[in-house]
Amino acid sequence: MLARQRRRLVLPFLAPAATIYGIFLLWPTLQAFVTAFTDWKGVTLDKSFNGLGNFEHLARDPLFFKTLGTTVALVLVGGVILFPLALTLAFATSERIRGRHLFRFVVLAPLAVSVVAAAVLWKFVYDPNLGLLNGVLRAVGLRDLSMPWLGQPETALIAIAIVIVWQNVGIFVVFLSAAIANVPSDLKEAAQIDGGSALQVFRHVTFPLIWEVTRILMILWIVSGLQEFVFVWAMTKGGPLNSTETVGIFVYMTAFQGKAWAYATAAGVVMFLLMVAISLFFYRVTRRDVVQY
Amino acid sequence: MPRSSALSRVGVYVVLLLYCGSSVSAFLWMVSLSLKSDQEFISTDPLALPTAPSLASYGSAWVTAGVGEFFLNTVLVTVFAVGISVAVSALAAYVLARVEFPLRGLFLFGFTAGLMVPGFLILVPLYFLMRDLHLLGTLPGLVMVYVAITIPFDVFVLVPFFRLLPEELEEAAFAEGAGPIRIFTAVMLPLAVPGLTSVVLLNILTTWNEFFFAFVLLSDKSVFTIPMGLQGLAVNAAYSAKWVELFAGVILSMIPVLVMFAVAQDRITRGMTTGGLKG
Amino acid sequence: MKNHMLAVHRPARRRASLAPGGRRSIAGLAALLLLGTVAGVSATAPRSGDVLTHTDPVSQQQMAPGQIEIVSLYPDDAPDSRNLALTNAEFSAKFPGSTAILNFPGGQLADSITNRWLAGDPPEVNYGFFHGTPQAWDYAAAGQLYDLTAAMSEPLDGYGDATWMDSILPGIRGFTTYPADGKAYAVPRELQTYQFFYNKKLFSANGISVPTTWDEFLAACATLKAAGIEPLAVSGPTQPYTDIYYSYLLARMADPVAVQAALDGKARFKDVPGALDAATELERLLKEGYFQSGFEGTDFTAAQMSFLQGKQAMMLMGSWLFGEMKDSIPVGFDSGIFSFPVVDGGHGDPNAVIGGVVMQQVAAQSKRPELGAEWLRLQAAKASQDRRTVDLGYLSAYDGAAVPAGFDSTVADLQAGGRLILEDWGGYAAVSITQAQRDAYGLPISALFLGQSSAAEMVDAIDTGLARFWDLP
Repeated sequence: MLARQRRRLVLPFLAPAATIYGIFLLWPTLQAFVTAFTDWKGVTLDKSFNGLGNFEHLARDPLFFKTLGTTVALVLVGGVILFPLALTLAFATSERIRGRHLFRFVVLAPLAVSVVAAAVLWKFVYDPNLGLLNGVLRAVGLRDLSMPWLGQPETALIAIAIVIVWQNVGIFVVFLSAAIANVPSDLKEAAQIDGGSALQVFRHVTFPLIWEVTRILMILWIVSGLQEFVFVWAMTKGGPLNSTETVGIFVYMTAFQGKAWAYATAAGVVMFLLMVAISLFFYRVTRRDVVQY
Repeated sequence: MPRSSALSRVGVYVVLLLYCGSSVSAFLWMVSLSLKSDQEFISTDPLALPTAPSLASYGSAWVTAGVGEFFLNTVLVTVFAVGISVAVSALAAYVLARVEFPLRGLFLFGFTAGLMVPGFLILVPLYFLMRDLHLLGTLPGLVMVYVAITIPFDVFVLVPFFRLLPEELEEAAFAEGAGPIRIFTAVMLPLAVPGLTSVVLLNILTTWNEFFFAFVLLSDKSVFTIPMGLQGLAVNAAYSAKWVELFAGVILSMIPVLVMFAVAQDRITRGMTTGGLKG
Repeated sequence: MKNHMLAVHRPARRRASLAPGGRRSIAGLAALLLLGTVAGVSATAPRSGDVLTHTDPVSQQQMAPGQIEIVSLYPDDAPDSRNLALTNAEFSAKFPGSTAILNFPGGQLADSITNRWLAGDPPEVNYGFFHGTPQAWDYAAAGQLYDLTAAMSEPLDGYGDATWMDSILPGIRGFTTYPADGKAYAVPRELQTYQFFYNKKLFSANGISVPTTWDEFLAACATLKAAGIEPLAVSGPTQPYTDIYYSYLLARMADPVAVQAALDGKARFKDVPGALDAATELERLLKEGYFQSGFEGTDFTAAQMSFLQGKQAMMLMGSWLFGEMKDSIPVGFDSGIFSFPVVDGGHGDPNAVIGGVVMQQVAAQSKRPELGAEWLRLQAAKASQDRRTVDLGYLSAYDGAAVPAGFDSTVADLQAGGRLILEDWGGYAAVSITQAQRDAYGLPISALFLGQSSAAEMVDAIDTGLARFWDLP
C-alpha cells in the first residue's frame, strides 16, 4: 500500500535530476569515453577507431603505473590525516563549548577560498625563503627543519596532501556534524547513565550510528583523491622528478601538451573503472546492518 | 566520570585551538601580505608586519578582477545552480534511498558515476553540446552545467541521510491518511534538514569559486563570474610576480561568502541540530 | 594602399612586389580593373556582420570592416596588453569600421581557445603557442593556419624596400615556414634569448669584471661566495630554467649538430663528445653551492624577485625579464647583461645563442583572417616594434628595430646569421611536447640539481631515456 504508492513517486522524482544530469554530464561523458577507442589527437576533429590500441599502450606505460602509485599514496596519506581530524573537529564543534560558532566558522572558511588561490597561498607558505612555515621554524629555533618542502621528492607529496586536507576538511566536518546531530541525545544519555565513559559512548553508541555517513564520506574522499589535479598542478605541476604526478596530471599533460587526447581519455576510462571497482569493494567491505533509531 | 569529561573537554579545546590556530594564521598571513607591496613581500621577513599597510592592492585587484562587475553574475549563477541542484537531488535521493524499484541500483550507480569523471575530459563534447543547444556563453547554460555536475555529489551524500530516517514515522503518517507526496514534504524533508543544509552550504561554497567550466563556456565579459576575474590576477601573479594583488583579490572574493555564512550561521546551526529525533 | 590591400585580399593572385612610384599606379590601375571584376563576381559570399562601405566595384576591393580577436596572455591592465591596445587603435584608424579586441587572458593554451579551434570558430590572431616545434606544424598540415606567404612578400612599414619576410632577422626567418609545403604561416612576435643578468653594484663592490670565459665565470662565483653573496639565482622546480644551464654548456662544449642528432634519435647521446664534460661543469656549479639556498623549492617569479632585490648576483634568464617584471623592479636597480661564457677547449659553438621566438599565426577558419594578417602587419611595422622595445624591453625579431640596452651584441650575432638554438633543442625541454620527450632530457638534469645523481649518471639517464623514446636498440 504505502510501498506501492511510494513507487508511483519514483518516475516524477527521478526525472528532473536524471534529465539534467543525463543531458549535460552523462552524454558528454559517454562521447568522451568513446574517443578512448580512437586515435584522436585533439588538433582537428578527425578520428578513426583503433579498438583497444590505447589501452594496450597504457598497459605498457611505466609512467602511468607510477602515477597510479603516487595517486594511491596521496589518497592514503591524505585519508589518514583527514578522517581522524574531521571526526575530532566534528565532535569538538558538536559539544556545547564556548566559541563553538567561531570554531565552526574557521573550519569551514578554507572552503570559501578557490582552489587555485589556496594553492598559491600554500605555495608561498612553503616557500623556502619567503614562506611562513620556514619563517616560523627559524623563529622558534628549529632552523634545521626548514627545507624546500615542495622542492624535494621526499616531502612534496605529503606537503600537498596537507593542503588538500586543510581546504576540504570542512566538507567532512559538516556532514559528520550533521550525522552526529541526528543521533538522539537520549540514547547517549542512557549510555552515560549506564556507566559509560565519554569514549565508550562514542565507540558503542555514536560511532555505529554515524558509520553509514562516514563510509560514504570515505568513498567520497577516495574518489575525489584519485582524480586529484588542480592542487598538484598549481603547486608543483607533478614535480619534483614526477614525485607528485597524479593520474589526473598525467591525463591532463597527455591531452593538452602531448596532444594525444584519445590516449588520455583511455587513461581516464581506466581510472573510472578503477574507481568504480574500489568504491564498490569498499562499500561492500564496510557494510554493517543499517542502524536506524 | 567528572574527571574524564574534564580531560576530554581540555582535549577538545586543544585540538580545536591547534587546528583553528594554524588555519587562521594562514589566513592572517595572507591578509598581512595583501597589505604589503610586492617588493616588501620579497625583501622582508615573512613574519614581519607590513611597515606601511596599504589597501592599494585591494583597489587594483577590484578593478583588474572586475569584482564589482562580476558580482551579480556570480550571485545569480550560484543561487540558481544550488537551488535547482539541491531540489532535484533531494527528490531523487529520497526515492533512491527509501523506495524499492527495479533498476534502483543502476540509477544509484549512474548518478554517482558522475563523481568519477575528471572534468577536463568532457570539456570538448560539452562545448559542442552547448553550442548546439545555443547555450554557449550564456549564464542559464552555465547554471545547467553546474547543476549537472553537482547532482552526483548531492545525491551521493543525501542518500545515506534519507536512508537513516525511521520507517515508523512514514507509516504513521500514512495511517493517518497522508499521501506519499505529503509524507515526503511534511515528514521526511524536515527530518532531512541537517543533511540538506549541509549540502546547500557546501554547494554554495564550491559553485561560487567554480572556474574551470566557466572559463571554457563563457567568452563575453558581460557574463563573467568572479573566478574568471581572479584568473587575470593569477596570470599577473604567475608571470609578473604581482602576488599581493592576487591575495587581495582572493580575500575580496571570499568576503561575500564568509559574510553570508557568518550571518546565517545561527540558522545553519539550528538547521543542523534540530533535525535530530528526540526519542 | 589599395593595391597592397588587394594583394592581401586575393593572395593567390600575387605575382611580384610592385615597385613604389609611378609604375605602381599604372600597373595597379590595370590590376584593379582586371581583378576588380573578377573579385566582385567571385568573392566569397558576404558573411553576417559584413557591411560593404560602398557598392561600386572598385571599392569592393576595400577590406570590408569587421571585428577580429587577438588572443592575449595577460589581463587588460598589464603592460603587454596596454601595448597591444595601441596596435588595436592603429588598426581601427587604418581600417575604418573595423576593430580588434583582445581575448581573455591565458594565452593560446587556454581551454576556451583550443575548444574554439576545434569547433571551427577560432579567434583570428593567436598568441604564439609554438615556435617551430614539431607539433605546431600539425595545425599547418591540418589546414588550420592561414597562409601568410603573400602577405609577407609585401614590404613592411619602416624597413625600406625589404619585404616583411626579409625584414626578419636571418636566423629567425626559418621559423615562419612550414617545411612540408614551404609556405609561411607564422610571424615572430618577439625574440627571447637567454643570457646572464648581473647586479652591477655587487660586481663592482667585489672587484669583479664581466666574465667572458667559463674560468672567469667560476672565479667570479667563488669570489662572490667568499664574500657571503649568493652567486646564482635559479628556480629549481621550473624545468626550462634548470635545463638551460646544461643546454648552454652543451652548446659550448659539444657540436650542436651532433647534439641535435642525438636528441632526434639519430645517434646515441652518450657518444656525443663533450656531453659528459658539460655535465661535469654543471655538477661543479652545484657542488660548490653557487645556487641560492632553497632553490629546489623556489618558484621562478620568487627567484626573479630575489635577484631584483639584490640577494643574488647573477641570474641566467630570458630577455623578457625586465618587461615582465616592470612594475616590480626597485628604483636604482642597476643590471647588466653578458652572454653565456665561452668554454676554453670546448668543441661547441662559442657564439650560439639559446632562446626562442614567440610566433603568432592567423587561424584559417576564423571569420576575417585577412584582417588578422593586417593586424600582424601593423605589429611588425618598425614603429610598433620600437614601441614594444621601449615600453616593454622586448627583443624584436626584426632587423633594424630598436634594441634594448645591453643586447646589441646578441642582435649583432643574429644579424650576421648567427645560430639561434631553440631552448628546447627543437622540442625537448619545453612544456609543449610529450612528457616522455621532456622527461628524457629534463628529468635527469633535475635529478642532478637535486643532488640525486652524478654527472655521469645524468648523461647515462638522458641517453637511456632518449633511446627508449626513439626505440633505439
